[in-house]
Amino acid sequence: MSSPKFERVKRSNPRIAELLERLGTYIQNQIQSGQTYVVPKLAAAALGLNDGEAFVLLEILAAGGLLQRIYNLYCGNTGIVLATVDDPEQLDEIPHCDDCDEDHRLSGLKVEVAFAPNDALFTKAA
Amino acid sequence: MANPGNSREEIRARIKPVLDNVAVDGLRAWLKSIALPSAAYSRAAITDLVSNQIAGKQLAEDALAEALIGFEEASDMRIYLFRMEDLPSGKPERWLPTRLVKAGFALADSRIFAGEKAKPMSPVYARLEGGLLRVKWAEQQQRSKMNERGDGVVLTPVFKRVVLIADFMDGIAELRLNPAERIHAYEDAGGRMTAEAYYQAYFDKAADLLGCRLAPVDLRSVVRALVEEENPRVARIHIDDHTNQSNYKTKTTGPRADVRDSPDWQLAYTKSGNTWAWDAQSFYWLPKVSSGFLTREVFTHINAEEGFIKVNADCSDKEVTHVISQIRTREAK
Repeated sequence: MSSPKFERVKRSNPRIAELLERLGTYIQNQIQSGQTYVVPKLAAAALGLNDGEAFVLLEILAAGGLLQRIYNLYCGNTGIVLATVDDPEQLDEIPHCDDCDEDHRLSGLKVEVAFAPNDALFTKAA
Repeated sequence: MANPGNSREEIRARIKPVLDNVAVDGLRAWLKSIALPSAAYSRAAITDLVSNQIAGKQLAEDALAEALIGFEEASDMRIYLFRMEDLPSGKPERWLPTRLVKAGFALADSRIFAGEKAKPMSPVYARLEGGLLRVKWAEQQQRSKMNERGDGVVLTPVFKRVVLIADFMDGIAELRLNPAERIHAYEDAGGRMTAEAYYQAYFDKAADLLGCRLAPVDLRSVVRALVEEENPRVARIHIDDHTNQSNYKTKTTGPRADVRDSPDWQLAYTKSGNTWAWDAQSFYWLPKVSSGFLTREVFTHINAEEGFIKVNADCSDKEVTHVISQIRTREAK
């Protein structure tokens, strides 16, 4: 499993290259199994890290152009995903919540940071 | 507590206003933990019982005051655990007193009741002993609810207590806060009065007082450890709430049992439990494996997503201190 971008990121972070390799394999498996984005807490659970460590590793891959940071908006009452946006500006354009049948205010929602693939390495066909 | 009269009636009149603020279940559990009779199931009955015990010299009034301060500092709390990073160098006895005085505290020899302090972040006391700092703030917030006719809002003043316990030996700070009411003095960046703004204001206050960064302790690893712990089980799992690798959230609630005894839960856990992200779990800590610290099952809700532990309104300081110490020993360092 490799791509020029991924190799560059590992070379720039030699002390955590092995961890990045494990994370890369995890992301690839997640995408292969139909997930469209990677959630830090799930990556942490699968790799035996804490949320903060997983987030930092995912940010490193995002900084290297392999992933893109996105935001999942959840209904605060039901926990259902209402929208996924890639720009914080779009957080103000919240769609109608069908389960509650109302337009929630931003304070009534939960925002989760996730990471979507941004490189051929992490696509279904890779 | 002052001791002006020793008849049963005088004692009763003196302690009743204070006991009225403490849950009956909690008082009963506390009496049981100090090996005193506790068979009273209403507020009036337990007030009589405690008055009799003081009048009969079975219970010292000072011990009661100490216990009630403990209830004030442990009941109905959201508890946040932090690792203290980049603390000022040297022993806290050297650098901390100046910071405490600047923050409006006078160093005290003993804990005291908060009283009816209304201003936001009113200092109550600070106590530094053996590498352990204990600080209490108090304030008044407003509870709002609709009136009986449904055409107006009734505001009720509610006193809030916030307690910071900093363990300099282990580098851990514990911040206990009564949950926020609707109306208080804290606003977010958008000018809205939110509960998060209230919690954040105290996180900032605590970090400022300690002169360090406060890094939240990861509670998911604590939940994982508690779920895995089987022989013996230290807690009964009442609600399991996790997210699987496909990002499906699953919530399992048990009756008076443990969700780990559910065959369906066991099947799923055996197959993929090692990759679940533990989100929010409710536990009843079991007395039989508490080395005598608990005399009843004690409820805690661990919200690993938001990073806090919630304890009920009838908990004594001894119970909460035991539970937090159990959580701390299971934290992945």
